[in-house]
Amino acid sequence: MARRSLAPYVQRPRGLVQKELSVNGSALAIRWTAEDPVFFRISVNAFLDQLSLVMRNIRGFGSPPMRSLGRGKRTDT
Amino acid sequence: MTTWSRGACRAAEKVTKGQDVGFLPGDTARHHRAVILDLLQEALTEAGLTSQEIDCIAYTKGPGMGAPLVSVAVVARTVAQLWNKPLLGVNHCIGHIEMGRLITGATSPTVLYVSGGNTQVIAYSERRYRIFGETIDIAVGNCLDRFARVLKISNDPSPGYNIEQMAKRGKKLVELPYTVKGMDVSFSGILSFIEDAAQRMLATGECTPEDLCFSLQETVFAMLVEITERAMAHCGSQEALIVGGVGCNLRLQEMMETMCQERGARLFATDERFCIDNGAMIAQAGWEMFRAGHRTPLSDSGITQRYRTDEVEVTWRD
Repeated sequence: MARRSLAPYVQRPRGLVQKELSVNGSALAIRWTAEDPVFFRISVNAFLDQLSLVMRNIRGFGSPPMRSLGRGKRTDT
Repeated sequence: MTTWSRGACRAAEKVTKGQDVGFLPGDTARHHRAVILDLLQEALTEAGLTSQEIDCIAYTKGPGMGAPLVSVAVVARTVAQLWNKPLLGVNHCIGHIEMGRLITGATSPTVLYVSGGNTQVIAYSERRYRIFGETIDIAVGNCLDRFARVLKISNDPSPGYNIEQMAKRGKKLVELPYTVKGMDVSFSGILSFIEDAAQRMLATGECTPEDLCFSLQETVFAMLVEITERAMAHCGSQEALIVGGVGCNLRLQEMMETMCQERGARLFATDERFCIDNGAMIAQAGWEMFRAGHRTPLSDSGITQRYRTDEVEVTWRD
């Protein structure tokens, strides 16, 4: 879920820093590629801010539904 | 619905109060991240709703400052997944238009959209909100805000409001650059002139700060009235609608009303609850989009700082 929330944030190539997200079991893995350590640090800090927000969001508003996600499906009938 | 944007904007004023700067992206994003989850819970509690009763999640896709947009979009995507609800990325400008139409009842107006970040004259045609005219440099609200900074006018509650109050006490009309280029306007020249000449004019007693506020409003608002009238004449429109934060200005509304009366047209305007950026307008536009069948896939839910009003296919109108 966190990867899906953050993926559009990282998808656009940002020139000097590239990020790739992947999921391995219950672990979210992020791979940074950067030549300049300053831009690398800025990118990591910004990403961690967003990741922290996603984690607080998930903890605060519950677990995902058990059934598979369906676009446009209502939970009430 | 996305009521969190409204609360975040009011609270964001606290970020800049007492400072001599406008909204900085990093500070604004930091603020949004700090308050958004509490605001979301507060909105649900105040509305008396559970997540199951929410129909869809609407958020601002753009235009705007990147970092704050990202912070809210990330939460929108997360709750859309948590609650299994469809996601709708809304154009901020269209949010203003749809809220204005809803509140005022205007059916098919020529829209003057004026704020700190945007200045456009818009009319609906063939499934698009077409931009008939716009600023070629800075927005009118940006011009007002930076003018206020030159004169050291307070940001509390807002520079534009304080300029409006001071302008009421102005007595002398100072000639300022008036720049209309066809259907477009330019405000950077006025700002350059003020930055260059204001202190000298005030020091020599040629005019007062109130005179400059009055003169600035009369000049920039006349420019806006001119291009709006030109669009109305082109479209044969009998309605004009003002939206955006600068639309709160009563002098602008008065000048637009005069123009409309002379044309036999009707002016629609809202008050500060709906003129200024708010979450309800995003919810309203999102609701229209949802009913028309729009959906924003997660893979396409990134934000964009430059999102033109006419990029959206308006399928909810005839």
